[in-house]
Amino acid sequence: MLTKSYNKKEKCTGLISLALHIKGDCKMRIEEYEFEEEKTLENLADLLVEIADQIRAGEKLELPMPTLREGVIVVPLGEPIETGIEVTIRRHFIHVDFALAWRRIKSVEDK
Amino acid sequence: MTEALDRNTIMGHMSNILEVQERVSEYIHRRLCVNCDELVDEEWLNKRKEAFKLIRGLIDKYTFSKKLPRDDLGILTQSIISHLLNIQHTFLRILVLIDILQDESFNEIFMDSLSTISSKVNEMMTALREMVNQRAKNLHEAEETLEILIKLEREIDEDNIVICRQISVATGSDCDFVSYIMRKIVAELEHISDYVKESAEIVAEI
Repeated sequence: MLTKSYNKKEKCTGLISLALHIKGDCKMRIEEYEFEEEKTLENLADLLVEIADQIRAGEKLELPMPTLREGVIVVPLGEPIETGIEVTIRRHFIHVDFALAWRRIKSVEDK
Repeated sequence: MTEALDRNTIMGHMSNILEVQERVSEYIHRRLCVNCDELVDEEWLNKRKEAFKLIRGLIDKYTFSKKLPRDDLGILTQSIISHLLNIQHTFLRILVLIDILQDESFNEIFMDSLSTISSKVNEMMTALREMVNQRAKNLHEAEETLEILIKLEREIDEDNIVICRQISVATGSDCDFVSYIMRKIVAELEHISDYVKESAEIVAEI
Protein backbone atom coordinates (compact mmCIF):
# COMPACT_ATOMS: atom_id res chain seq x y z
CA MET A 1 0.00 0.00 0.00
CA LEU A 2 1.28 3.42 -0.88
CA THR A 3 0.32 5.47 2.07
CA LYS A 4 0.80 4.28 5.60
CA SER A 5 4.02 2.33 5.33
CA TYR A 6 6.37 4.89 6.76
CA ASN A 7 9.96 3.81 6.72
CA LYS A 8 12.24 5.74 9.02
CA LYS A 9 15.35 4.78 7.14
CA GLU A 10 14.02 6.48 4.08
CA LYS A 11 15.26 9.99 3.57
CA CYS A 12 13.87 12.52 1.20
CA THR A 13 14.43 16.07 0.22
CA GLY A 14 12.66 19.28 -0.55
CA LEU A 15 15.47 20.11 -2.89
CA ILE A 16 13.99 18.62 -5.96
CA SER A 17 17.21 16.91 -6.71
CA LEU A 18 18.25 13.45 -7.67
CA ALA A 19 21.63 11.87 -7.43
CA LEU A 20 21.69 8.37 -8.85
CA HIS A 21 24.78 6.31 -8.42
CA ILE A 22 24.79 4.21 -11.53
CA LYS A 23 28.03 2.29 -11.03
CA GLY A 24 31.16 3.10 -9.15
CA ASP A 25 32.13 6.70 -9.66
CA CYS A 26 29.64 7.34 -12.43
CA LYS A 27 27.09 9.76 -11.02
CA MET A 28 24.08 11.27 -12.70
CA ARG A 29 22.71 14.46 -11.25
CA ILE A 30 19.52 16.27 -12.13
CA GLU A 31 18.34 19.26 -10.21
CA GLU A 32 14.97 20.89 -10.71
CA TYR A 33 13.45 23.74 -8.78
CA GLU A 34 10.04 25.22 -9.37
CA PHE A 35 7.46 27.34 -7.60
CA GLU A 36 4.81 29.95 -8.33
CA GLU A 37 4.14 33.02 -6.25
CA GLU A 38 1.97 36.14 -6.41
CA LYS A 39 3.81 39.45 -6.33
CA THR A 40 2.98 43.13 -6.50
CA LEU A 41 4.28 45.12 -9.46
CA GLU A 42 6.84 46.73 -7.20
CA ASN A 43 8.12 43.42 -5.80
CA LEU A 44 8.39 42.06 -9.32
CA ALA A 45 10.35 45.14 -10.42
CA ASP A 46 12.76 44.62 -7.50
CA LEU A 47 13.28 40.99 -8.48
CA LEU A 48 13.92 41.82 -12.14
CA VAL A 49 16.38 44.61 -11.26
CA GLU A 50 18.21 42.22 -8.94
CA ILE A 51 18.41 39.60 -11.68
CA ALA A 52 19.52 42.22 -14.24
CA ASP A 53 22.34 43.43 -11.98
CA GLN A 54 23.63 39.90 -11.50
CA ILE A 55 23.49 39.14 -15.22
CA ARG A 56 25.39 42.39 -15.91
CA ALA A 57 28.10 41.23 -13.47
CA GLY A 58 28.12 37.95 -15.39
CA GLU A 59 29.23 35.49 -12.73
CA LYS A 60 26.33 33.85 -10.98
CA LEU A 61 22.61 34.21 -10.54
CA GLU A 62 21.15 33.97 -7.04
CA LEU A 63 17.45 33.20 -7.29
CA PRO A 64 14.91 33.32 -4.47
CA MET A 65 13.55 29.84 -3.79
CA PRO A 66 11.09 29.91 -0.88
CA THR A 67 10.62 26.15 -1.18
CA LEU A 68 14.16 25.52 0.08
CA ARG A 69 15.67 25.69 3.52
CA GLU A 70 18.39 28.01 2.24
CA GLY A 71 15.76 30.18 0.57
CA VAL A 72 17.98 30.74 -2.44
CA ILE A 73 19.72 28.82 -5.23
CA VAL A 74 22.91 29.89 -6.95
CA VAL A 75 23.15 29.26 -10.67
CA PRO A 76 26.39 29.75 -12.64
CA LEU A 77 25.99 32.10 -15.63
CA GLY A 78 27.32 31.55 -19.14
CA GLU A 79 26.99 32.75 -22.73
CA PRO A 80 25.33 32.61 -25.24
CA ILE A 81 21.91 32.85 -23.61
CA GLU A 82 18.87 31.45 -25.37
CA THR A 83 15.79 33.53 -24.59
CA GLY A 84 12.10 32.85 -25.04
CA ILE A 85 9.19 35.20 -24.47
CA GLU A 86 5.63 33.92 -24.63
CA VAL A 87 2.59 36.19 -24.32
CA THR A 88 -1.10 35.29 -24.15
CA ILE A 89 -3.64 38.08 -23.87
CA ARG A 90 -7.16 37.15 -22.82
CA ARG A 91 -10.17 39.05 -21.65
CA HIS A 92 -9.62 38.26 -17.95
CA PHE A 93 -5.90 37.47 -17.74
CA ILE A 94 -2.56 38.16 -19.37
CA HIS A 95 0.23 35.58 -19.23
CA VAL A 96 3.86 36.48 -19.91
CA ASP A 97 6.43 33.70 -19.68
CA PHE A 98 10.16 34.31 -19.82
CA ALA A 99 12.56 31.43 -20.38
CA LEU A 100 16.36 31.55 -20.33
CA ALA A 101 18.89 28.83 -21.12
CA TRP A 102 22.64 28.67 -21.56
CA ARG A 103 25.42 26.14 -21.91
CA ARG A 104 27.10 25.03 -18.75
CA ILE A 105 30.83 25.66 -18.63
CA LYS A 106 32.53 22.41 -17.67
CA SER A 107 34.01 22.64 -14.21
CA VAL A 108 37.02 20.67 -12.92
CA GLU A 109 34.61 18.58 -10.85
CA ASP A 110 32.64 17.43 -13.90
CA LYS A 111 35.74 16.16 -15.70
CA MET B 1 -17.33 21.38 -45.35
CA THR B 2 -19.60 19.90 -42.70
CA GLU B 3 -21.97 22.13 -40.79
CA ALA B 4 -20.36 23.89 -37.84
CA LEU B 5 -21.37 23.00 -34.28
CA ASP B 6 -23.24 25.53 -32.17
CA ARG B 7 -22.11 26.81 -28.77
CA ASN B 8 -24.30 24.50 -26.68
CA THR B 9 -23.18 21.37 -28.51
CA ILE B 10 -19.54 22.39 -28.06
CA MET B 11 -20.08 22.98 -24.34
CA GLY B 12 -21.70 19.53 -24.13
CA HIS B 13 -18.65 17.87 -25.72
CA MET B 14 -16.30 19.65 -23.33
CA SER B 15 -18.43 18.67 -20.37
CA ASN B 16 -18.29 15.01 -21.46
CA ILE B 17 -14.50 15.13 -21.63
CA LEU B 18 -14.25 16.79 -18.24
CA GLU B 19 -16.53 14.21 -16.68
CA VAL B 20 -14.09 11.45 -17.61
CA GLN B 21 -11.04 13.47 -16.53
CA GLU B 22 -12.76 14.13 -13.22
CA ARG B 23 -13.08 10.38 -12.65
CA VAL B 24 -9.40 9.83 -13.37
CA SER B 25 -8.59 12.67 -10.98
CA GLU B 26 -10.74 11.08 -8.29
CA TYR B 27 -9.02 7.69 -8.64
CA ILE B 28 -5.61 9.34 -8.38
CA HIS B 29 -6.67 11.38 -5.39
CA ARG B 30 -7.99 8.33 -3.57
CA ARG B 31 -4.78 6.48 -4.25
CA LEU B 32 -2.68 9.36 -2.89
CA CYS B 33 -4.93 10.37 0.00
CA VAL B 34 -3.74 9.63 3.54
CA ASN B 35 -6.87 10.18 5.60
CA CYS B 36 -9.72 9.42 3.24
CA ASP B 37 -11.09 6.17 1.93
CA GLU B 38 -7.86 5.17 0.26
CA LEU B 39 -7.46 2.53 -2.38
CA VAL B 40 -5.59 -0.52 -1.18
CA ASP B 41 -3.24 -2.35 -3.53
CA GLU B 42 -5.71 -4.88 -4.85
CA GLU B 43 -8.41 -2.32 -5.48
CA TRP B 44 -5.87 0.01 -7.07
CA LEU B 45 -4.90 -2.68 -9.60
CA ASN B 46 -8.43 -2.44 -11.01
CA LYS B 47 -8.75 1.33 -10.74
CA ARG B 48 -5.35 1.77 -12.33
CA LYS B 49 -6.41 -0.34 -15.30
CA GLU B 50 -9.66 1.58 -15.53
CA ALA B 51 -7.91 4.96 -15.32
CA PHE B 52 -5.63 4.06 -18.25
CA LYS B 53 -8.66 2.83 -20.18
CA LEU B 54 -10.58 6.04 -19.47
CA ILE B 55 -7.67 8.13 -20.79
CA ARG B 56 -7.41 5.99 -23.94
CA GLY B 57 -11.16 6.37 -24.42
CA LEU B 58 -10.89 10.14 -24.19
CA ILE B 59 -9.04 10.41 -27.49
CA ASP B 60 -12.21 9.73 -29.51
CA LYS B 61 -14.10 12.41 -27.63
CA TYR B 62 -12.11 15.11 -29.42
CA THR B 63 -13.54 14.18 -32.83
CA PHE B 64 -15.96 17.12 -32.56
CA SER B 65 -12.92 19.33 -33.34
CA LYS B 66 -13.58 18.52 -37.01
CA LYS B 67 -16.72 20.61 -36.89
CA LEU B 68 -15.64 23.77 -35.06
CA PRO B 69 -17.00 27.05 -36.43
CA ARG B 70 -14.49 29.27 -38.28
CA ASP B 71 -14.85 32.22 -35.91
CA ASP B 72 -14.06 33.43 -32.37
CA LEU B 73 -16.01 30.56 -30.85
CA GLY B 74 -13.86 28.10 -32.81
CA ILE B 75 -10.65 29.79 -31.68
CA LEU B 76 -11.68 29.85 -28.01
CA THR B 77 -12.74 26.20 -28.22
CA GLN B 78 -9.40 25.27 -29.75
CA SER B 79 -7.61 26.91 -26.79
CA ILE B 80 -9.70 25.00 -24.27
CA ILE B 81 -9.17 21.73 -26.15
CA SER B 82 -5.44 22.31 -25.96
CA HIS B 83 -5.60 22.76 -22.18
CA LEU B 84 -7.89 19.73 -21.77
CA LEU B 85 -5.33 17.63 -23.66
CA ASN B 86 -2.62 18.94 -21.34
CA ILE B 87 -4.73 18.02 -18.32
CA GLN B 88 -5.32 14.42 -19.39
CA HIS B 89 -1.74 13.98 -20.52
CA THR B 90 -0.51 15.20 -17.13
CA PHE B 91 -2.86 12.78 -15.36
CA LEU B 92 -1.35 10.06 -17.55
CA ARG B 93 2.12 11.15 -16.45
CA ILE B 94 1.04 10.90 -12.80
CA LEU B 95 -0.34 7.39 -13.39
CA VAL B 96 3.02 6.39 -14.86
CA LEU B 97 4.86 8.01 -11.93
CA ILE B 98 2.69 5.97 -9.54
CA ASP B 99 3.64 2.87 -11.56
CA ILE B 100 7.30 3.82 -11.24
CA LEU B 101 6.93 3.98 -7.45
CA GLN B 102 5.21 0.60 -7.35
CA ASP B 103 4.45 -0.05 -3.68
CA GLU B 104 7.59 1.37 -2.14
CA SER B 105 7.27 3.06 1.20
CA PHE B 106 7.64 6.81 1.42
CA ASN B 107 8.21 9.51 3.92
CA GLU B 108 4.87 10.65 5.34
CA ILE B 109 5.69 14.30 4.81
CA PHE B 110 5.20 13.70 1.10
CA MET B 111 1.89 11.99 1.65
CA ASP B 112 0.45 15.07 3.38
CA SER B 113 1.49 17.24 0.49
CA LEU B 114 0.08 14.83 -2.04
CA SER B 115 -3.24 14.56 -0.19
CA THR B 116 -3.71 18.29 0.16
CA ILE B 117 -2.84 19.11 -3.41
CA SER B 118 -4.57 16.15 -5.07
CA SER B 119 -7.76 16.94 -3.14
CA LYS B 120 -7.72 20.54 -4.39
CA VAL B 121 -6.96 19.46 -7.94
CA ASN B 122 -9.90 17.09 -7.78
CA GLU B 123 -12.07 19.95 -6.50
CA MET B 124 -10.90 22.12 -9.39
CA MET B 125 -11.79 19.42 -11.94
CA THR B 126 -15.32 19.26 -10.53
CA ALA B 127 -15.62 23.05 -10.49
CA LEU B 128 -14.44 23.36 -14.11
CA ARG B 129 -17.01 20.82 -15.30
CA GLU B 130 -19.70 22.67 -13.36
CA MET B 131 -18.54 25.95 -14.83
CA VAL B 132 -18.90 24.60 -18.37
CA ASN B 133 -22.42 23.41 -17.57
CA GLN B 134 -23.31 26.73 -15.92
CA ARG B 135 -22.01 28.74 -18.88
CA ALA B 136 -24.04 26.54 -21.23
CA LYS B 137 -27.22 27.54 -19.41
CA ASN B 138 -26.62 31.01 -18.05
CA LEU B 139 -23.85 33.46 -18.97
CA HIS B 140 -23.61 35.11 -15.56
CA GLU B 141 -23.93 32.20 -13.18
CA ALA B 142 -20.38 30.98 -13.71
CA GLU B 143 -18.54 34.03 -12.40
CA GLU B 144 -18.55 32.71 -8.86
CA THR B 145 -17.16 29.36 -9.99
CA LEU B 146 -14.35 31.14 -11.84
CA GLU B 147 -13.48 32.95 -8.60
CA ILE B 148 -13.41 29.62 -6.74
CA LEU B 149 -11.08 28.16 -9.36
CA ILE B 150 -8.75 31.16 -9.19
CA LYS B 151 -8.70 30.89 -5.40
CA LEU B 152 -7.96 27.15 -5.44
CA GLU B 153 -5.13 27.58 -7.95
CA ARG B 154 -3.55 30.22 -5.73
CA GLU B 155 -3.93 27.99 -2.67
CA ILE B 156 -2.19 25.14 -4.47
CA ASP B 157 0.74 27.43 -5.32
CA GLU B 158 0.99 28.42 -1.65
CA ASP B 159 0.62 24.82 -0.41
CA ASN B 160 3.37 23.85 -2.80
CA ILE B 161 5.77 26.42 -1.32
CA VAL B 162 4.91 25.59 2.29
CA ILE B 163 5.12 21.84 1.77
CA CYS B 164 8.40 21.92 -0.14
CA ARG B 165 9.91 24.15 2.51
CA GLN B 166 8.76 21.82 5.30
CA ILE B 167 10.26 18.88 3.47
CA SER B 168 13.48 20.78 2.90
CA VAL B 169 13.80 21.63 6.60
CA ALA B 170 12.78 18.16 7.79
CA THR B 171 15.14 16.21 5.60
CA GLY B 172 18.19 18.42 5.16
CA SER B 173 19.87 17.82 1.85
CA ASP B 174 19.43 14.05 1.59
CA CYS B 175 17.68 12.80 -1.48
CA ASP B 176 16.71 9.56 -3.14
CA PHE B 177 14.82 8.18 -6.11
CA VAL B 178 11.46 7.72 -4.36
CA SER B 179 11.50 11.26 -2.95
CA TYR B 180 12.29 12.63 -6.38
CA ILE B 181 9.40 10.78 -8.01
CA MET B 182 7.00 11.86 -5.26
CA ARG B 183 8.04 15.48 -5.61
CA LYS B 184 7.45 15.08 -9.35
CA ILE B 185 3.87 13.96 -8.67
CA VAL B 186 3.27 17.10 -6.59
CA ALA B 187 4.77 19.24 -9.38
CA GLU B 188 2.55 17.57 -12.01
CA LEU B 189 -0.55 18.13 -9.88
CA GLU B 190 0.41 21.79 -9.56
CA HIS B 191 0.71 21.99 -13.35
CA ILE B 192 -2.80 20.56 -13.73
CA SER B 193 -4.11 23.35 -11.48
CA ASP B 194 -2.58 25.86 -13.91
CA TYR B 195 -4.17 24.19 -16.93
CA VAL B 196 -7.56 24.06 -15.20
CA LYS B 197 -7.39 27.73 -14.27
CA GLU B 198 -6.35 28.70 -17.78
CA SER B 199 -9.23 26.64 -19.21
CA ALA B 200 -11.63 28.39 -16.84
CA GLU B 201 -10.38 31.80 -17.97
CA ILE B 202 -11.35 30.88 -21.53
CA VAL B 203 -14.62 29.17 -20.57
CA ALA B 204 -15.53 32.52 -18.97
CA GLU B 205 -15.23 34.13 -22.42
CA ILE B 206 -17.18 31.60 -24.44
